[in-house]
Order: sequence, then structure tokens, then C-alpha cells
Amino acid sequence: MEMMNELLEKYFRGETSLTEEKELKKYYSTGKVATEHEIYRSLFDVFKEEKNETAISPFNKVIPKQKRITRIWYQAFGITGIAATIALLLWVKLPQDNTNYAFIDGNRNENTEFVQHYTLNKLNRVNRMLAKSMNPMKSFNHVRQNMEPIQNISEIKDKMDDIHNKLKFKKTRI
Amino acid sequence: MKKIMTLVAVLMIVAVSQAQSLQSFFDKYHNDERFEYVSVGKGMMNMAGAFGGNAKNNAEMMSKMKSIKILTLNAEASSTLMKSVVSELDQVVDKGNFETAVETRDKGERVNIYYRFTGKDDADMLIVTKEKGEFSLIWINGKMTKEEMMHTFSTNGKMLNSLGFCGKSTSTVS
Repeated sequence: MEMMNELLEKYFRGETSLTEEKELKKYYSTGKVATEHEIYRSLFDVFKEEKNETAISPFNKVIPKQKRITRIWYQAFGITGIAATIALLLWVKLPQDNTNYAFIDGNRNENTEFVQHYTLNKLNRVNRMLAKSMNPMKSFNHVRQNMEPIQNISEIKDKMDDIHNKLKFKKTRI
Repeated sequence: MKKIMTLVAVLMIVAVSQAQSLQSFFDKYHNDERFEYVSVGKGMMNMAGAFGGNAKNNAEMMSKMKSIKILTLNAEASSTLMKSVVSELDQVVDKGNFETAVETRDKGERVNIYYRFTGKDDADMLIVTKEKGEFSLIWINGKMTKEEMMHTFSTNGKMLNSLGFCGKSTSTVS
């Protein structure tokens, strides 16, 4: 016990050798610590915790954060470059798709005349159906056309009124 | 900055998914043996414009069209395939923010015309026709303004004249 007191005093004076410090650590790690020495336990427990800590790569501490960002940018540029190259290669290599074709009964037909006729036929049919359904509109247009003279009547009436007013004005002057 | 980028990304995804739903519908059935499918690209439409009706306006209209896709199903209206395709299309129209332009019904013949604008002057016109035993879907995609789109829905039922398709007489595909 006395030896430990001496060692602790020496430790706090900073005069202990490495072997003596080891002995102190050993004393605190065994668990059989005198009650008067308990107050220093936390101090020596720190060494124990430090022992369990895993070392962090010194590079991570040294390399500034900015450098990490630039590395990510380099990676992004690299990946984008590769993707662009692949896309370009695919675009160059893949056969250009012919957009004029027909699929009838599971068979592909690239005969332009056929495709053209088919399209014309379909659109004409739509046209016919629309024309048929829109027939009442045709009648409406017809009615509107026939009503045009009525519009002219109102114009003639306006003109007549105008002339009448002018004549009245002349009479009063005389 | 991060928020703006996320917003842009979300908007792009929404725009793409809108176009994709109709695209995926066509992709799903275009090489199905039970369907007929025709795709017309820009090159062929210019050709159609060249022989289409009253030239100048039609040719101008044609030059704005990017593609025409036609999907046809010949099946009984009561068949399960027809029912599932129709309900699937209804969902596509609902989700795709389409607006109804024309809706006609005449003795078992139905024509529905929908349109939408996906980008700056980028328009989709969807013509759905239902006849006895036939269901057709015509998807016209092009760069048109709202006014130009409305111009195609001429009230006298000859809407497709302005597309330059109907100047020529009908020829059947068999």
C-alpha cells in the first residue's frame, strides 16, 4: 500500500518511469484498489478506454475536407464521361429505326406504299365518320347563310333612318 | 440551388412519364398479333403533303407533324380483350392530361378526339374511333400551337383536310 502511495505521489510529480506507470495501470486494472486510491481510478480508466479505441486513419485527419469534395467531382465527371461514351457508342452502333412500317398479323411490313395507303384509308374513314356526325352542323351553317339577308335588312334600315334624319334636318333649316 | 434542381428533375420526370404512358400503351400492343399497327414518320408525311389537297396550307401543316401512329383492334365489343384495351386507354387519357376536342356518336360509330400540349408548341392529338368490331387509335404528334391544333378541328367534319391527307380518293388496304 505504501509503495502505491509513493508511486502515485511520484506520478503526480511527473517523475515516474515507464515501468512504474505500467505498474500503476496494472494496479488499477486488477480491481483490488484501496479505498483511498479509488478517487484516481477514473484517471487510469482513461488509459484502458484509449487502449480499446480503434485508430482512425491519419489521412482522414490530415486531408482537408475540400480535397474530398474535389475527389467526388472527379469521380462524377469520370462516371458521366463513361456514360456519355456508352450512349454515344450505342447511338452510333444501333441501326437507325425506320419509322415507316406496319405490323399486320405479327408481320412487319416496310412497304411505304402499303403504309401510306393504310394511313390514308384510316384517316379518310375518320373523316367520313366525322362528316356524318357533323351533318347537323352543316344544316346549321346553311341556316346561318340563309339568315345573312336579314342582317342586310337591318343595315338597310339603319341607312334609311340615317337618310330620314338628314331630310328632317334639312326641312327644319328651310 | 438544390431545391431548383430537384424541382427541375421532378418536372422533367412528370413530362417524360406523361408522354411515356401513351408511348408505353402503343409499345405494349404494336407487335401484338391481334392488333394492326402502322407508324408513319416525318419523311413520309412530307410525301403525303406533296399530293395532299389544296397545297400550301396542307404542306405547311404536314411539315409540323412529327409522326402518326395507328393501332387497330378487330374484335367484338363484348370481348375481354376489347374491354381491357378500352379501359386501359381511358386510364391513359385520364392520366395524360388530354382535353376532349370532339366527341361524336352516330349509330354505333363513335369518334373521340383528344389533344394535349406537352411542351412549347409540342402537341399530341389522339383520335379514337369505335365501330362495330373495330377499335382504332390514331396518335398524331407534332409541333403545333393551340390555334393550329384548333384549326384542324374544322366544324364541317373535314378536319383532316387540313392535314393534307384527304385530298386523295380513298384506297382500301386488304
